[in-house]
Amino acid sequence: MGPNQLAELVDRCAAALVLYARQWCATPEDVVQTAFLKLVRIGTPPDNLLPWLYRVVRNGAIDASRAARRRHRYEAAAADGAPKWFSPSYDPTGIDARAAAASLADLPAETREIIVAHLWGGLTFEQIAQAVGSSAATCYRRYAAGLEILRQKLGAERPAHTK
Amino acid sequence: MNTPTPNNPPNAPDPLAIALAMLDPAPHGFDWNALMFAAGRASKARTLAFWRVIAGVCATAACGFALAFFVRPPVVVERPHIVYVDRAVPAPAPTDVPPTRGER
Repeated sequence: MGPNQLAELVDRCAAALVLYARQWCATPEDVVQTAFLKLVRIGTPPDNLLPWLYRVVRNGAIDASRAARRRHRYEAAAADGAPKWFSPSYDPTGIDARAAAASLADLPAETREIIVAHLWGGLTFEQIAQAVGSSAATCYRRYAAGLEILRQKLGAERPAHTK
Repeated sequence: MNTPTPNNPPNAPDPLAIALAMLDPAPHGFDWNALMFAAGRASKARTLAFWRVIAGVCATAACGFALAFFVRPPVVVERPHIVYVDRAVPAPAPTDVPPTRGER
């Protein structure tokens, strides 16, 4: 992978990957940087690059969270001082960023990771299934269930279903 | 009623999903230049390791040869060496020589 390709990949995906990793650990930037360095070391990028990246970030973030627990760092204390998930939103008609982050944090981990990967990572459900080791149908079901929970928490309207 | 599946998404886009997707993830916050530098170094890690191994092998071989050179036992070779010495030979003393038959 050349430097231009890597730079373009970092600019395109780094923020979404950091958001994805933030679900598990307090040091998502380190996890994402490590994933990019791992990608450089393997030489030839894999065919399914995005699912591979998300899988590496996921595994790294989970390992980091386990290491933090072993060092007796409480995630609540880390979360209180953790950076925000989203940039502040100045659109009064949009969703409040802090409310969205709080609602996402309350979701089950397996549901939240699918929503984050799909909405902000741009992965399809097939790609998400490759990253998390599940099936596309299961990923979609969890995604739909998670959206429903968020809809209740954020007070959003249901989508209009046309025949 | 259509059941939404990955291949058959809902007929109408979910406004909540659209609204959530419009939120921008917080900037990644890591040093871009440091990452590029580390990536450049990591991309040559195998080549660097290869040359380090070569250098280590050559250094080990050089040390081995040097050790073998300095600790080898001396080899004794016997070689005849002819030395010519000048020596004064005393002149022989004169002796009485009996006359010969022709002279009687």
